[in-house]
Amino acid sequence: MKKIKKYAWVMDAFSQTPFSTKARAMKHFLTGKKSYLPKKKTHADMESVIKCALCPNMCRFDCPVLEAEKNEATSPSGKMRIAYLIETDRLDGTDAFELMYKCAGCDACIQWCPFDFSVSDILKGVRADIVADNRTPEDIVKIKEHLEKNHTMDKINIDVKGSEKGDILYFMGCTILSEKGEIAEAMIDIFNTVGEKYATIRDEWCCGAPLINLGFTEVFKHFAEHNVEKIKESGCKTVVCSCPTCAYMLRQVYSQMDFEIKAQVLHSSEYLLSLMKDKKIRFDHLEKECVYHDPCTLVRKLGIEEEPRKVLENIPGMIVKEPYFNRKDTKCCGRGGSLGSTNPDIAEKIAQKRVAELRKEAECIVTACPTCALAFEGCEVYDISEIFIKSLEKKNE
Amino acid sequence: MSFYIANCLLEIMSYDTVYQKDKKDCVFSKKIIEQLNSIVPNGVSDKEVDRVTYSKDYWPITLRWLLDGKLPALPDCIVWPENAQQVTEILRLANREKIPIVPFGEGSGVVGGAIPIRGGIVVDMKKMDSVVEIDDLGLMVTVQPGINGMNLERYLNRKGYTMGHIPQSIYCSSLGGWLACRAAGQFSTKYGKIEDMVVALEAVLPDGTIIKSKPVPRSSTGPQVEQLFLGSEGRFGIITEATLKIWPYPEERSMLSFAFDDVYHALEAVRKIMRKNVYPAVVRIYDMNETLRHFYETKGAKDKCMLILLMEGDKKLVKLENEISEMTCKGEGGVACGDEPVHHWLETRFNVKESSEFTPRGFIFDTVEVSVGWKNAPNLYKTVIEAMRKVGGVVVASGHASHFYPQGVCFYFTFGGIPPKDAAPFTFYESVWDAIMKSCLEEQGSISHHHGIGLIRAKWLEKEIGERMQMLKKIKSAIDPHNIMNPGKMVVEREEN
Ligand SMILES: Cc1cc2nc3c(=O)[nH]c(=O)nc-3n(C[C@H](O)[C@H](O)[C@H](O)COP(=O)(O)OP(=O)(O)OC[C@H]3O[C@@H](n4cnc5c(N)ncnc54)[C@H](O)[C@@H]3O)c2cc1C
Ligand code: SF4
Ligand code: SF4
Repeated sequence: MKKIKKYAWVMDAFSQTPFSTKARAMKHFLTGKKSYLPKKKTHADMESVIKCALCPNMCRFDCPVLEAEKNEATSPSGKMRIAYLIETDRLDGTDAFELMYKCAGCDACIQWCPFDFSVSDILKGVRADIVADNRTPEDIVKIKEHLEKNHTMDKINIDVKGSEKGDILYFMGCTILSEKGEIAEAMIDIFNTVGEKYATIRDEWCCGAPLINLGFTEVFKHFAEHNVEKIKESGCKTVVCSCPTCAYMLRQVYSQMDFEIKAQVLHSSEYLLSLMKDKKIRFDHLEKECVYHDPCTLVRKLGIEEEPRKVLENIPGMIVKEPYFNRKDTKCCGRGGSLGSTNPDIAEKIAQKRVAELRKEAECIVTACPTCALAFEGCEVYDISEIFIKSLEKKNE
Repeated sequence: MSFYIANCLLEIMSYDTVYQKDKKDCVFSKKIIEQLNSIVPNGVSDKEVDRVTYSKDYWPITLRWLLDGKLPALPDCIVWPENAQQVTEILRLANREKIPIVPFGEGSGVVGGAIPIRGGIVVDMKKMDSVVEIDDLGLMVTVQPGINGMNLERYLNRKGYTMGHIPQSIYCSSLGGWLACRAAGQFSTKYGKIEDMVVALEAVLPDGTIIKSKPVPRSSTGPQVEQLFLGSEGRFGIITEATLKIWPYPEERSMLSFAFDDVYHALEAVRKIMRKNVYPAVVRIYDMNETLRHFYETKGAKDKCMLILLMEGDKKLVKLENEISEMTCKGEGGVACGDEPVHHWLETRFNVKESSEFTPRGFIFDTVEVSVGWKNAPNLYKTVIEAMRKVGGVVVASGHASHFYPQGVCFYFTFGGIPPKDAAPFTFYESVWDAIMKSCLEEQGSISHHHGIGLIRAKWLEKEIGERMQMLKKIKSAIDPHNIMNPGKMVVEREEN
């Protein structure tokens, strides 16, 4: 009924139109769309690609990639126009294909889009088409090949092992395994302090987000299968992830793609807050002023904004500042959507901008994502779990 | 004899390029790219993907062309300068080599102004986007032109100010584009159009000279020549900095709405409000079709024309403006509908969906804004609506009034339809435009209030400004003797035809 009312003005206009125009207009209205769709079957949702390509770019001002690059081609609608030309076989060439990977997966576009589009999600289909046509840029293929061979994004640099079975399974994710071991150490400390029976996966594989992002859906399936199996073997009731992207994959994307995880999947901020609520834990004073950075995936994909704040606010002595752009209005760290691997220079520019913004509020940055923490390296930056354990450590001293 | 040699489009065989015939010679030499690279290191691209991207702005007919596999035109390269000195050097090079220059903001212009129809160099101003200074005592901000509108307004809001310039395209347009097109925001009835906000300008002329005026409120020092850049559409040079008026962020807002039996009574109410020297920030009158389109959920709006008003500023003043506006509207037969329709407008005013929804269904549409004195306003509205309806293929022909002055009003017309059988999309499109332009001139209106001339209105400008056209052409050829700046737009020189 609402939809009918919404289009009443079109009906009203039609009613005042001569019959011959009316008949042709009606025909176009009902069937016109098909003529602009590619003839071949595509992974990309072409109706969305077209709508976005025709939009005046209403979300552009908040797109971190455009903000860093200043090139129209990298704007949300700019990318979709080129995507449309690629999908309709009017444009090819490495530069066009490479453009399809210039997205930080931050979903800032959704905040302003009248169609609720995430350009990042639309691009996944376009990239899958590029893969299917064997036109994937070399550097992107290398990422996939590396993953196929090693199963994680980078060399594993930590030696944190829990038992193979436990009530809680700590899923570390690639960034922690290779670069941010200190976050895993903090989490393990917390598990030990509260006497949690925790497990880790001995040969944990990447959650598969980069593969889905880059269009390698079939390869992704092996990764999902492996992880689902290992999670099952652990006998856990709850999976805890420090990485919001891993949490999003295991909690939502796996099931959307028919890989079912029976255990509850929590982000570490949710888990830490539940510990506080269950009063399993008490904090000592921790004199610290910090600014909290909302990770895009945590706040926009998982809708988690209160939990990390509550964790921090519950620590006596902690002063938590808000940056001007916070919660769903956050700004990207630059490394989302695999941009840190595909376009590190763009990622770096985005990170610098966010750091400058955060540091207007406090020297110390706290976040709830290992990838954001990695992007802000060089500053005083902590994951919430590190702050959490710091306040406990003081008590033990 | 032209030294400029433009690039052939051989590599992009799958395209038709609509304005290809306007390009003169072939092969944009690599030497020019090298020279540009030495002026703007890492700020030049002649990649195909970038040239295709910069082939269009948001002129609505180009959306249809995009789906049909046609590009309006192709630039030879794109340059991203970072300061006025680099702009100077780029223009000197282009002037020497007689290469077309097309300044580019965010490409939201809707008249084809930023389309590089003769190829050449697109100068994208987006890297020049810093806020230089806020002068709190003088209530002024000095900014570079590449800044995105929303990012500028957000910056000001954060510091406790507003510019009061909120066009519907604020998310997707730049300050430079606003100045070059004489843009108008939704709050213009109180704060004015962009030209009313400008205090000082800096610009680079085609020969590389940098001109700059002082940020003083007024001066009696002869004609202010820098004002030639307001509405210049990239034809006189490149704007590189502007000082604009700002205001403390309003402490109070109040909203009213009324349903009228027809557009004419609503216009009369607003005319009387203006006459009292009362300036609500937002004033919008929707005709019946547009009322149905935007206020289908408002009780009492069916078969009526909605008027919405938003007052903002000092609390006491707002209260007074509210009282005067309410009394005047009721006096003209307006039925009060409360503040809900205004909230609805505030929430939905940036939801631009129609172009994405209707273009793929074969519809061709556009919006055309004109201005007119009060005396002729009712007739102009009636005549233009009738003229649009008469064009075969038109399905939607509607209008609203959205910028008001004690002297008159801006009407904003929308048309949409399907080309009649055997008519090319552009032929249909142009015939509706012609009908609107012709009837607007007949009713003593001005053919554009804030979108500018670009390509679509170029042939109508002489009819609008008469003898002033000769003067404009003389000024143009004095400033830009080689006609490098955005050729083919607005003032069409004889040799270009
Ligand atoms: C959805 C939508 C809503 C709109 N709503 C409004 C509205 O409410 N009010 C309104 O006034 N307009 C509106 N417009 C039209 C458009 O946004 C304006 O014309 C705007 O001023 C263009 O700005 P831009 O930065 O996108 O300029 P562009 O499109 O890039 O360029 C426009 C013209 O300005 C020239 N130019 C750009 N920068 C410079 C510079 N630095 N120096 C010299 N010349 C330059 C270009 O060469 C070109 O001729 C709307 C457009 C869209 C798509
Ligand atoms: S997801 Fe983020 S980076 Fe990608 S297009 Fe949207 S706003 Fe830009
Ligand atoms: S994501 Fe939405 S708002 Fe952004 S360009 Fe696409 S359609 Fe427009």
